[in-house]
Amino acid sequence: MTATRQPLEDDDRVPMADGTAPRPAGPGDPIQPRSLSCRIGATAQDVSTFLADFTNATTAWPPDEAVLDDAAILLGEFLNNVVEHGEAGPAAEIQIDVTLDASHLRIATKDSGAPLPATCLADAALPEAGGRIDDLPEGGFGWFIIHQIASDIAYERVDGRNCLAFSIPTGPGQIPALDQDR
Amino acid sequence: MPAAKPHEDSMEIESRIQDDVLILTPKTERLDANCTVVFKEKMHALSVTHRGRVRLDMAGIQFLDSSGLGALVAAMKALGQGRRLELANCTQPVMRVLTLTRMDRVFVICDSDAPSQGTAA
Repeated sequence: MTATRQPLEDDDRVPMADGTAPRPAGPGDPIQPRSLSCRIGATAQDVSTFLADFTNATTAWPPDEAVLDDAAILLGEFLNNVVEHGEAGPAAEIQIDVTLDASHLRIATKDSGAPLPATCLADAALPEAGGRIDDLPEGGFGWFIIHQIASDIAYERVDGRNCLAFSIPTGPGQIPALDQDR
Repeated sequence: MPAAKPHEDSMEIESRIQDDVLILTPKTERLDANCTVVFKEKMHALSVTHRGRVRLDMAGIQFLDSSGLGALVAAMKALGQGRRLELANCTQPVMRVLTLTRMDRVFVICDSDAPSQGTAA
């Protein structure tokens, strides 16, 4: 797919929610944010780039590495679902906000794609694996993975946009108290 | 111009044979929806003439999503002859997806690059 898309307002950089200047989230980035906001295009390549940036930008965050890995996995599954099934078009954008509080990593997304089928929000089943290699599923894992990782999922359709909220428990005692900066 | 960083169209997979095992090493950190098509094509091209075991060295892969997982399944199906794809040196995030989906029971997961003689599963 070589569909052209409008350049993103944020030029593929990660604008930080605390008001600091947008900058590429690369290795050695001095910022250690506990929240980040970003708007990306609804294409597989934008999602891939965002996830790499997300991983780089959160390396210094306090939760266990496994929590951040889970967040990246969940974001990847959800965002690619929007790209593949959301019918949002290549010019559409997805707003992503990630915040960390004392008990959870919280992920909120907004996209202008098609309404989410209710079946996605119900608990998803693992596709049947069967015994023969030729019968193995090559897809259908995405929502199962999301449900396995997220402790809860909230969905609203507001002004023609899908608004999703996922939370991932960070585990007791892992997160030091945060400054009340919002 | 300096070479661009690896991209969907230019994903390299290194190939070598060690003790009759075809060992393939994808030169990418991410096996995701953005590269599954080229990954499947290259895997097939590299393994189609090999009749023995096929092992993927996953040491460099830091991220696997469900599309990448599907591509691994497709690559294993393409091997034919009931052969199971061996996944060596999986990183933590990759193992997480494999175990969440219980596909760790479908592939042969091996820890090291050393040939594991006679480990029938």
